[in-house]
Amino acid sequence: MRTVRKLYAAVYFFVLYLPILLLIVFSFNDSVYIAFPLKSFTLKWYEAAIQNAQLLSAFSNSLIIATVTSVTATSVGLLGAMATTRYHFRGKTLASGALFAPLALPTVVTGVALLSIFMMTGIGLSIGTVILGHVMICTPFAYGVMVSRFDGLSPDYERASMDLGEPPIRTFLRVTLPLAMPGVVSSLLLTFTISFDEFILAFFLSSNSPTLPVFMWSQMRFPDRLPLVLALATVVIVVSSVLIIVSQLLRRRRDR
Amino acid sequence: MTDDFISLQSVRKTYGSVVAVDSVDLDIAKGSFFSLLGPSGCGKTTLLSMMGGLDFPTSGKIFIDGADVTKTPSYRRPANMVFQSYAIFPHLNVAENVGYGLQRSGLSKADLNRQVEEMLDLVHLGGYGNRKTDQLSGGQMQRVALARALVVKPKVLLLDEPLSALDKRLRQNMQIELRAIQREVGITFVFVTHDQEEALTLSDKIAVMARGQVLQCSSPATLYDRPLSREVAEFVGEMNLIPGTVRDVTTTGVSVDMPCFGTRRLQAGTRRFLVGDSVCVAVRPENFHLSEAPEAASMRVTNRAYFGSHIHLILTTDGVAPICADVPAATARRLRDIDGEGVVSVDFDEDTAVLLPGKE
Repeated sequence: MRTVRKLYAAVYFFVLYLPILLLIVFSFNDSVYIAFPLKSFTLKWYEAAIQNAQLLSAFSNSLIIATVTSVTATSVGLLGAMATTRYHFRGKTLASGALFAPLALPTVVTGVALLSIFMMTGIGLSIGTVILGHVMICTPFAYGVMVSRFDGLSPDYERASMDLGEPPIRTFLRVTLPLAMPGVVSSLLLTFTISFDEFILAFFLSSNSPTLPVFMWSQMRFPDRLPLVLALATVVIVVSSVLIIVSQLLRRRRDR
Repeated sequence: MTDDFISLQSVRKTYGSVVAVDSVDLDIAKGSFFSLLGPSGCGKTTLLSMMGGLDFPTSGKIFIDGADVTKTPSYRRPANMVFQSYAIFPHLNVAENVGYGLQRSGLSKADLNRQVEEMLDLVHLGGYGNRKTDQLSGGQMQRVALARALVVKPKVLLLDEPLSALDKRLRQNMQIELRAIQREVGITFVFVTHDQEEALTLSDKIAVMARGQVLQCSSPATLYDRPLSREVAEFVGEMNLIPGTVRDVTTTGVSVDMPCFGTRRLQAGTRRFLVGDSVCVAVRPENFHLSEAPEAASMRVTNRAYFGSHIHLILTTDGVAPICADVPAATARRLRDIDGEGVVSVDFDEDTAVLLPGKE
């Protein structure tokens, strides 16, 4: 039985990570074709990536979008979490549910809805519209992270601060924010990663300012640019993994 | 308006259909140590929160030092709270915690540090300023919370069961210290507790609460010796309630027929009784003594425990609930000769007995 269990686990992880592993391997392979046997080791796809102006512009779009999205979504999530964990009001359960609900909505549906509105109102598409879309899908995650942080924090700290003469805003700055900081950082990293990797909404809403995933998709039409995409994908995988690991480490340190 | 320092007038607090505090009137004298005593859920903590501005009454008024503070938020009230959870800020060290409320006072850094140091000395934590708060014991957290609230020089210090999380030995030490600190700073303390012994030891005045109402507000001695109701009598200390019937009422007292102690003349206090009323004679265990007098009651000893200074007896007789009596060990030598279910003759001191209505 023990061997079977071990074998199962090995197969599971092999199937799960093989494609990603292959992707990384082929990004260093000196051939435009993805096929064995491997040719020699090369960094030329990475060099090509760095020299591609379109790619760099897409990368910078993605960075801007992910940064603004993560800050906005985390702020909204923080305020929402404060409302539903610190105050009692009519319709609280509904509000909490409504904050989580966008999670259940297929992104394609959200994308079509947003696209229709932006077209209808003549707002037009830009980095800004992608940010709006990303804030919409990232806020539930930020809210979830912040709620779990606030649930573990006694409201007595804030009460004590107010009691000691600090009005609500000063109390927020001197007590609430520092105590919520591990959650804030973890939420920033998580929402940054989600926004950076997101494709569907960005595809619908980015128009002529593509994000990195949209750029990568557009390159797939040209077979000889496949290795370039592989190199790029490898970079994205590494950056995303690092962010997720840091966010999990912070969460673990907080729980201790 | 009376010239009392803190004054609550018909204060009521409801949460939906639940009445947490029900029309409480209370006057607290300046510089006194005042306790709110009652079982959990009696509304004492809600009442304290309303004094501190952390909660607001549904109706009624609250005055502190002559000013109507009913709607004043906690950050503008001259009242500070020591929380049951202490609520010591975990992201600040001991000195930063204590100095928290002074930040906005415009003090120079040197003055601020000096005040923090003085306050830490007062609570016997001198030199602990740089400690992190997660290195502190429960008793030390307690002291930091106290120092942090006192350093801003409030007119009133509100304490929400601050000693309940400490072990018994530490609690007793802290009680003595708390009283000493209160005398030294001269600030009015309002102390919430469910521990009647603690309230009796510490307070100048105690308000006993139940079901959101104040049942009795008086000095510890009056509360113990002259409870106004059966509920107070039973909540504060141990009390025997012996049923009886009023036989005669005169200006000097009330004659009561009791099942096994005959007819006794008792003081009626402020209550009025009519002939034929069924009453309760409340007698503390220590007010019983062994007696050879003819009116003394003969009772069976069903249980006894030796306490050195006195002997604790459980006495029974037909038609009366078991009675607890603490008789001085010195006068009860011969009790030692009684094995198991002996019979003794006991009597009580009529001056110390309290006459209460039979049913409430």
